[in-house]
Amino acid sequence: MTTAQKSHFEILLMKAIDGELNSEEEKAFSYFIETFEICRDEWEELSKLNKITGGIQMKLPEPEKWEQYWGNIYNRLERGIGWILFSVGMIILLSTGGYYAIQAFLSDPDIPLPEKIGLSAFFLGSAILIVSVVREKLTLRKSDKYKDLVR
Amino acid sequence: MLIDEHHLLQKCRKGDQQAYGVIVNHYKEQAYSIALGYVGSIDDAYDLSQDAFIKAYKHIKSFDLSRSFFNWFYQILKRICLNFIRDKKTHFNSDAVEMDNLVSKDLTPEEQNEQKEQQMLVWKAIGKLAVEAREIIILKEFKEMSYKEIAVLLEIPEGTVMSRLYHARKALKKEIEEVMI
Repeated sequence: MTTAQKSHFEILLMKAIDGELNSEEEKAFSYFIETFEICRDEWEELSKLNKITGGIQMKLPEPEKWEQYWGNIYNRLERGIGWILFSVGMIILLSTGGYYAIQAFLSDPDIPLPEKIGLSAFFLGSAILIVSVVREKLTLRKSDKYKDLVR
Repeated sequence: MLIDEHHLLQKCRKGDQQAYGVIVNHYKEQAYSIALGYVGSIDDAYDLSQDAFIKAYKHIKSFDLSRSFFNWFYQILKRICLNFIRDKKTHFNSDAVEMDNLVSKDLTPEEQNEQKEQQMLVWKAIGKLAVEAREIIILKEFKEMSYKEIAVLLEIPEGTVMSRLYHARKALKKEIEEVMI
């Protein structure tokens, strides 16, 4: 059997197993089955396998759980909105609080200047590092062509 | 049940979650069983298919209304399942499947047991297949989709569907033989 004949038979075999052969293809398929033993064996093996897989049914989850399917999704969507609002509120409060704390710290005459400079540099440095790391992560995620690669 | 999908999706894009509920209820069984075919466990399939619906809702504004919702959703579901398979070991447990009642009613109890054992072997062998082979087996054997439907869903020619299916079935047969040894 040539490579082209083999490829043709593979297509016909699938159609025969899935009941999608038309009359012309049926004739061609019969020719292969009657002429080549290897084709006959494959037909027998795969149609037997198909009978077994055809009798398998996937189970659904417990009925109570299944009925709650959309309810669970709805709750999670609602919670997502809640988390966004909570985070936005938290960021605003922390930024405002931070601003007032820094302002009070810098304008306090009792704190010596080297301490003010040291702490300011420490917090400014931390802020720059955080922004830099976050920015790097975001740009890497956008441009990483392998991010969806399944290993 | 027939639904006016286009109209419902337009409502979803305006933030109507109840409209999305109708879409979810319409496709949940399909989504769940495809996920089950990928990951093999009822609980994981339940969670992953829900994750996919949530992700789809969050990106519903980027969905092109001229396309089929399920074909678009399928890509999201598939990616979620593949990430899960990459990160965790999947277990194709026998409690995720059962014998078709229509098949079992014509068999004697002995034949039923034998068939059940064979089916469990097949199910476990499916879990050992490469993802591409597993995907085509799920869509054809369990979702009973036509070649044309699979071709549209996977965005490949019909001939490729049949060729992939042939190799997947051969691989499945080989896996079964290895499981039996």
